[in-house]
Amino acid sequence: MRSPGPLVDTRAGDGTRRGFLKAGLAALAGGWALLVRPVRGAAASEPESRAAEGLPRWGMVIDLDRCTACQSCTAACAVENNQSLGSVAEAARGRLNRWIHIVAVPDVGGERGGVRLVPIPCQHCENPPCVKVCPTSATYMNPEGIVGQVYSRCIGCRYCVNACPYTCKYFNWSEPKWPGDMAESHNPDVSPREKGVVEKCLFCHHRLQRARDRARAEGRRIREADYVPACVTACPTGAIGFGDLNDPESSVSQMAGSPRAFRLLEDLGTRPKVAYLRER
Amino acid sequence: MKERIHALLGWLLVGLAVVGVIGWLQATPGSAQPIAFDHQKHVEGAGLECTLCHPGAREGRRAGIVAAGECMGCHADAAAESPEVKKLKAFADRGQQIPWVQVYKAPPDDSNMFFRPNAVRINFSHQRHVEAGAVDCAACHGAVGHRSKPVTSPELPIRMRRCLECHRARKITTDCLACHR
Repeated sequence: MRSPGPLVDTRAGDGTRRGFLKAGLAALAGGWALLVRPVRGAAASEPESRAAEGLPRWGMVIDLDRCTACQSCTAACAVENNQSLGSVAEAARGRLNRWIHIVAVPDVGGERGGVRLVPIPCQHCENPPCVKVCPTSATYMNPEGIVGQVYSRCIGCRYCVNACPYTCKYFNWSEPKWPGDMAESHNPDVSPREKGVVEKCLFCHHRLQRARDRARAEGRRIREADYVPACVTACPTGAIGFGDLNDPESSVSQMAGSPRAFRLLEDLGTRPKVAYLRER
Repeated sequence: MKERIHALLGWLLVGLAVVGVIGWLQATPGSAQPIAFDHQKHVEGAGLECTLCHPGAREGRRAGIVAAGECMGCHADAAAESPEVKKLKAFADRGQQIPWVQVYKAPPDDSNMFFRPNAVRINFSHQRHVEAGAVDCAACHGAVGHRSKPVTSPELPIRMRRCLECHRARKITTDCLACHR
């Protein structure tokens, strides 16, 4: 016996209702396939298609055996990219924006014990979680694999700050200020970010543009040594390597293929383009 | 009663329209230049290159404007009796810069950013366009060389739409990072 409820059409038999449900499910599945499949397909084949086009895929390798955690990279990056000075009070609240920062990782179960100091720039993931959550497409991956941040598009919602598993996106909590004439010595290729936008490491994209300009003026192709981010030039021990991961001959792809190489939080599937070399 | 309300509303609309038109006229850029410079005479008449008075367009990020003393190189003799050249001479004698009003800005002053009007920042390099890209000055600035009246508003609007049209046509990158960073 069926108990007829006010919202149930009692005249329709079980068969027709099941049929209706089936049809609905099929339609849903079809819609799902239409909406989701192409997007997933595109995401999966993107790096491969880029390689086919002959575009570079910029990547970095940080040798932890050579790194002494001196923070030269942090300072060089701050100067190169006109980063806000910040204050002691802001630093105490965790609001200091340094695009490459040293993170202390307890070496649990390691041979050495103690703490391992790891410099962390934006990992420029091939599958970036920050890009997926950005409601305005202010953060996106450019055709050469650099995860960009368009400050004029950013509305400061900080979804990306929360989505980034590497804590490499920084929100400007205050208007940037520099004492005296310091603002006069800013890098003209990098715009200062105002209060309320998120900023991040762009692999010194302006240096790539400068290198391309120079190469074009000299009528040649861009060489590996032409484009090097500020942190790489500043590193006193040469611990940071940078270059085109799509070029198997480049030093960075050879370093990234080393048996010592690993990536941070590899199990998340973000596929970072920054590789680390384990200490020997 | 109803008619009176309708009439009142109607007049209110008319009043708003009048205020709007006056406001629009007031807001229309009409920045007066300190000297009524005639581009046509210099470019078409004297056959001068744009970069003669706007140096840096080929070599640098910004295209500049020469100091009054440079103008006097020609104008010590040329058209010395004209009232505008006398104004120029006064600036040059005092060793002053001519307070030209900048007309072309990227992004423009009337950029349609409602919430953060200063937020649009563009990395533009004249060198990259003029020297490397061999783009004619008029492609962005319009036919300024034909203009005999002083330039008080852009001949062509500086808009991202126009940047993109040209970038697409010439197969130049349209990656956001190339200009916005």
